Amino acid sequence: MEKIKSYTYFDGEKTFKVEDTFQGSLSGEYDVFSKSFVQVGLDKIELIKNSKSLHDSQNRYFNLEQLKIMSNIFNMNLIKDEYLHSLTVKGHYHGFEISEDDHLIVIYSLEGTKAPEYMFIYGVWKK
Amino acid sequence: MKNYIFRTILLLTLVNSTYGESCFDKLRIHIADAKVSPEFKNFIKNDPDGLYVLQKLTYSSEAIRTDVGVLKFYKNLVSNNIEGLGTTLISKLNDAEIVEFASTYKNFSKIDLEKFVANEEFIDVWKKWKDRNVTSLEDIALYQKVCSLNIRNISFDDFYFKTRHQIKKASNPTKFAPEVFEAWKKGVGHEADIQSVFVKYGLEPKIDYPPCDGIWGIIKKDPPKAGDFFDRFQTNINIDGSYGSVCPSDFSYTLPSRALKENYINIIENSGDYFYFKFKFKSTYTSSLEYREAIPWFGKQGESIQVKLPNKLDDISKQIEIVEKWKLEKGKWVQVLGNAGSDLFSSFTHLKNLPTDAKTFLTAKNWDNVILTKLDGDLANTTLKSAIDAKPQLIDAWEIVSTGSESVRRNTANLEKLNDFISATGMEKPKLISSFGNAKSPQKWVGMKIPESNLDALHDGFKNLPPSKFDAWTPDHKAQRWANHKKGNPDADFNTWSNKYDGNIDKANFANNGVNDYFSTLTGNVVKEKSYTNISINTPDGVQSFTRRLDIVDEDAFKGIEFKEYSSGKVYRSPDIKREYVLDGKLLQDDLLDDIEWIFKGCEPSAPLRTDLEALGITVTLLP
Repeated sequence: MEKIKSYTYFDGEKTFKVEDTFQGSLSGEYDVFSKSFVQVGLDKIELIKNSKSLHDSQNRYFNLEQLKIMSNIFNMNLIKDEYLHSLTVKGHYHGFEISEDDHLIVIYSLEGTKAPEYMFIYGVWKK
Repeated sequence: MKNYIFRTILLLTLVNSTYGESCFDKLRIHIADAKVSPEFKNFIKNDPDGLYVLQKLTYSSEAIRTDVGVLKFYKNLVSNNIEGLGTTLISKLNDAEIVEFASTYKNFSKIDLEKFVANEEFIDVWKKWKDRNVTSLEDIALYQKVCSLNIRNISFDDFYFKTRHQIKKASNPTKFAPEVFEAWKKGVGHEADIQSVFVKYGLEPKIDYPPCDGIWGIIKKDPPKAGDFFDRFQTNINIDGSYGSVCPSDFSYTLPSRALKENYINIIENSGDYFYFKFKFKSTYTSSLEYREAIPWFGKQGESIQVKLPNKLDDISKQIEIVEKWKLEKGKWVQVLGNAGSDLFSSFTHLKNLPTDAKTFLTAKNWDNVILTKLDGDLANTTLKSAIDAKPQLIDAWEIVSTGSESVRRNTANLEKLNDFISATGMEKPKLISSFGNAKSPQKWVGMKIPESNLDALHDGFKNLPPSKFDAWTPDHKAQRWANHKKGNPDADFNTWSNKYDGNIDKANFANNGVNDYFSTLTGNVVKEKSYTNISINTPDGVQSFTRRLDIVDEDAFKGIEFKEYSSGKVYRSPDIKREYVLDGKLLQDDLLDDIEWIFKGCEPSAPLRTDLEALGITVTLLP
């Protein structure tokens, strides 16, 4: 698996050429940002639809063991807060999500005060 | 054809009542021949009730009559002796809705269907919410209970709209939406009920945003009044986002009362940035704000009065005035902008006169007095001051060249060029600062800040011209070098290469110096940069004449020297290079020169290039 250095990010309204990580305001609310995608060459992956939360609450998507493995693969911090384990990155305290398809993996966080207002893309990996 | 068939059905139905079954048999044959879907034909031909059902739908539209799902649905009604429900349903739904309803009819038992058809509200709910998977009678009943409610000035539609991100994430979005609404409508003190619904549907209240934008309801919708203040906490250095709190003159709401997602304790622990802005709207802002009360969430008490703007604050920066800005530094709040406290720039002659947004931009830099004093001095230049007043981000460009001479720093064209370059390439500022710091020709360094697309366009403009030698560290030279580099490294990263190229300006004109040094070691009748004109060679476009300029020529020995000194380490067989050596081959062939030597100083030819040179009889020499 290879970490992608540069890729294109579409936030539902605007397109950005990104080097490594992206951090910026969302162009709109859910109806806009739910159309977000990342494109690497011809491969395109939607971010919001079918994403999975990177925490182990109720083991809905991942259990602790899986999170430990992912923290190593993606170089993220595994934070334990009472009953909840979650993967985070220094400087970013909102929940992280992972989107994956046959070709790409994207880890991102929708950040904001009362609702998503910013997008932080931690990284994009090619399988 | 189809209309003909159904007119025939009508006629034959009448005939059938008079003359018996054989007429239906004849009709079956007609339909079998008609141009309708094979599925439809099979149903009519093979289902014993097919024609009967079709006859019952004779007066319906073609879209309904020809849809096998509708025919099967109607047949089911007939076999349950409730075909009257079908007639009622058809009268209440449009064609597309009937086709869609029939396709999901299996969700309905006879009793459910009777309940559904008898309840106009159920039908309305189904019409409105079917696209969100509300199709079972149980779900329809759930939505019917809530969809007409208006709680604290928020309808279920509003609630759904403000919660759609969480609804999408829930394990069963269809059931989650009305259930969380039911919990939310209980109001203040019932946040635990909401959180229970979150957990039930796989959401995590500690991480996932609260429902309904985190509010209990809307108190009012009004434009801001003159003299009203608002405030906002956030992690970004410049004000943005769409949410804030009202800020009465005598107090501001505490952080916990806002129940914000940012965990400022973590921020302190990790030395992250956190900012507070107090602002007011200018009279030009006339849009209405939603005033609402915060739900306790993220383990915080909530209940402050908050506002939501229809716009993002960064989009309306010219319509707001920031009156205070504070920064959390090492766990302490420090006021960095504001009338009430210390204006960081009040002691600077020019900085203090910068507009608010430029001060905000500058504040975020957290610079010491030495660099602030330098910028203040530069702002004595009114052209620079005006440029930064209009475009505060030029301060970023100024920062990059801040170690340069006054003439470089105060040159607004330089700053604009750098600003455009940063915007186009996203190159990291520390790398640019470092690269500039190493450059011994700062103005040339700035001049080389040309985005990749512009370099490519530049190269496109001369790539088909006769090969020429460009002076090092000119836009044309950089464009040619980038084209050459890309030829050998198709995946090359422009930013990395560009920084390396520009960083080598400290070896100013090293290629020229190299050839000059070499030239100074030669004796005899040697000349520099001798041109041979009208050299004809075959090209894909036919025979064409070019000029070939060689770096050094020994006119007594009839020897030409091409001097290559590339920072990239390897010289590839690019089109430009190829044209040069093809012309050199022609010079040898036409006996204009007896010998040509290509000297590679500090670099080497690629294997294909070396093979081609040697095949033409060109001597290859490598110098360290």
